[in-house]
Amino acid sequence: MSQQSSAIRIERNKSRAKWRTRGFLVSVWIYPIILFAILYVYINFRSFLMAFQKVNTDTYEFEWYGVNNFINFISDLTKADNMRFVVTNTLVAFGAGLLISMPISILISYFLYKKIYLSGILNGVLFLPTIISAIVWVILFKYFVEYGVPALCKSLNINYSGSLLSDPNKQFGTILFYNMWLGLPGSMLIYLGTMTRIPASLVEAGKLDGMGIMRELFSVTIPLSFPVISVTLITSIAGFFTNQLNLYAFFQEFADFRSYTLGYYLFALVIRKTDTIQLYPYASAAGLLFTVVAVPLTLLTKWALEKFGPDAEF
Amino acid sequence: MLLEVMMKKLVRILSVILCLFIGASMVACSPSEKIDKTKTQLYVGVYRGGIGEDWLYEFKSQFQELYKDISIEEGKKGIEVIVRPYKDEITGVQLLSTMPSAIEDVYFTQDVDFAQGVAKGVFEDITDIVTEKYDTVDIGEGEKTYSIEDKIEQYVLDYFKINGKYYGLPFAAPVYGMMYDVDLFAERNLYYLENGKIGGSIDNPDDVLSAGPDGEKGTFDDGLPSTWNELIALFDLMISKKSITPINWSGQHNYQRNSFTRAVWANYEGFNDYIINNTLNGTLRNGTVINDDNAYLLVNEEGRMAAAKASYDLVKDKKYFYDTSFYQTYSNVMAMEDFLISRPSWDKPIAMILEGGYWENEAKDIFKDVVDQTSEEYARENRRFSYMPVPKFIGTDGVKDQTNDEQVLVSTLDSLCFINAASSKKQLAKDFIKFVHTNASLSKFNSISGVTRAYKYKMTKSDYDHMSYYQKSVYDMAEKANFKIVQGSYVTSRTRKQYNDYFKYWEANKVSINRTEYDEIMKSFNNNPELTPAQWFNSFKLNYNSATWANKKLP
Repeated sequence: MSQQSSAIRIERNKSRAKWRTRGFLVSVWIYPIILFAILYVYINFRSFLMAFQKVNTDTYEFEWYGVNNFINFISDLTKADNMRFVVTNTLVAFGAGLLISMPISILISYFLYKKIYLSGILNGVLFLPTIISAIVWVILFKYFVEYGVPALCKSLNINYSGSLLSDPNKQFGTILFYNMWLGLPGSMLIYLGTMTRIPASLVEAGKLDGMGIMRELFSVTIPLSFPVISVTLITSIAGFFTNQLNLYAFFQEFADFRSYTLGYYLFALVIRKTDTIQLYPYASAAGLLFTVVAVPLTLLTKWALEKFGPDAEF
Repeated sequence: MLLEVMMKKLVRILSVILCLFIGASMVACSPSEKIDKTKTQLYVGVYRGGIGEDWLYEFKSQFQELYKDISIEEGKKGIEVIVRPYKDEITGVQLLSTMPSAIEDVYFTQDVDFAQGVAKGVFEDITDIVTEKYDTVDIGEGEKTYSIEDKIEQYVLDYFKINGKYYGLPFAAPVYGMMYDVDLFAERNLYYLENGKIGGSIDNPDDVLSAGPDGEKGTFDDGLPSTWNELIALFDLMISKKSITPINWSGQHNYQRNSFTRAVWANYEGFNDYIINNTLNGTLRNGTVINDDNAYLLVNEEGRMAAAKASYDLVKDKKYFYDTSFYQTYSNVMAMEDFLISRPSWDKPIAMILEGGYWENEAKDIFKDVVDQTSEEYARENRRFSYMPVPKFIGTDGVKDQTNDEQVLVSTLDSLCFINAASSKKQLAKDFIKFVHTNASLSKFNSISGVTRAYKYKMTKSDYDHMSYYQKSVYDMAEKANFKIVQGSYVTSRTRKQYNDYFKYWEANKVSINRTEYDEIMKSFNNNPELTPAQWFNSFKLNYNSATWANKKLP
């Protein structure tokens, strides 16, 4: 009897412990799940519906509008004023990231990994942007461009007038430069972290075979870092349509149209304080169209990188 | 073993603490204020901007005094007005979505989609207090009893009246335009004389000054440029012989420049013809009847050309404006600082600034800084500034001669007040709104803030005397214009609201030329020297004509 009751007691205790564990897990997870359901699932579902609606400007109710928002957006993309700037800027920003920022990040990360002369100081300077708030950098950059650059030009007897940020012909280039510079540390952190995991034995073996520093970069470092590089490439494809180039931080919704990207264009449409609700359905339709393009492109890029990328592991 | 048990307990304790933190994050932080539980509270949300809140604290004291012996709630006597200043939290969509659960009963704010708020049912119906005649006063029409409605222009009432009911009221109407340093003008003899030459001073009684823009001698604008050509001639004199920078503005914000553009347009056309651009309904001075079918004809208004010409002229010579006026970092505060410190401290002072009517109030602390750097002579109460009326376009190259003589003031601040439909003290809130809109309160508001309101009112002598030279000049102008202040943001045309995107180039400050959009007229002329006022003006006709109007689609 006592054996039986002790067995029952043990079972009961086990069951209680299981329920306590479940209760604890639920109490920890319930709040984030509710937030996810409201702030992600519901919002995206609502946004999806909105793409097929329009706002009645008398009642401010949403009404069925079919696919007209999509038609209007595609028409605007091809015919509306300034859209050629928006699309071109988006492509240029993407290209600059892919062809300039990424190679430079990899190269600098590599030299930091190889501990070149003054790499310690360079480390600190290059990673400074990541520890200081983006808004602070924006303010500093604005003042530097508008006051520092003219003063510097004056001291070097270079003829300079106007402001790189106020002149619409120079604004986009200036913002692009800012983004490329600020974007370096983030990706460098990731590449550097990956490179430091490369087994020293591999590198030593290569050196014994007469491998030089640049040979090591292309034959060992890049292939072994390729998984991280491919993740960067895939996320940049996914972010193609949402990249705002920090324009809002600089200009709020008042950037010159010649600096717009697709991401900023949609954001500026809906961020104004008045008369914006009528544009929500249009913006939702544009977002859906971007998703329809971005998803297969991202998956295709992933497949291609996996299929044709170097097959190196460590 | 013991260590393991202790570690497990520690992990449990830490997990519980973590859960508590997560739970605590669900509770919003709200400002805690001490309230008097023996009284009924009335919460008033106010936008913290250039107008300030001093006026509201004055009304708070007065209203509390009025109600000190009145019981609104059982067991309580008197009321306590709680003033809650906010910034963007009580503007836009954010306000409309939080109002149902907000504690505020009354709001004085800006940048709110009024029609949307009414449609959502967040604004209380205040028709009863707007139409009730309760304020007995003589405002120049003999002693009469006025309702709030009686004091407001019809087109403004049309904006706030939806389906026959009022849901809000206009709040502040600060006048935008050119503000000039009267002391500098007087010191350097920058006033026009009767003989058409520049060289007079208002401080020299021997100088016979010209009549000014209003054409009447002996008024506050004597000696000021009467025509646009005279203004530019004055600018040329300032830069060539007087070592003065004519004008300044904030580069960071564009609303001062855009508002000035509208002021030029409105002054050229007159009150009625300008407002029709918002209502798309009415009869122009030339007899043309405008309605929803033919309102595209409004793009022929020469006032748009005048606005383009004025904007072009102000920036065509870079010496006309201060070096950093177009810098992104050059805020309105920095522009005001430079304007105020330049006369006492710089070799090349700045004569004028493009700003809103609240600027002197907003610059209160800047005046103190100027005094700290210089002397009491430059304190706010010792300095003279004034609003410069927009000159007429007579004999201006490229612009037909102006025929309108009516001087028009323009306010583009989308400012309004309303009661929260979710308020539990609606009657008290209504009483407060009524109180704030008596002639005495309108006078007091103007006196304290220096900002006009778009209501007919007459300031009391003591309130008027309390104001600075600048504030008096603005009130004088508004009174002379019978408080017909154009509120540029009050668009009542259903067509304009329905086809928001089609009308994006309707206002004078934004156009599309050869499929390139130019946003913000003065900056566009500054950055694109090849752009001309004629191109700007002609673009309106390309975008708005019978063909595009039919489908409400831009070409």
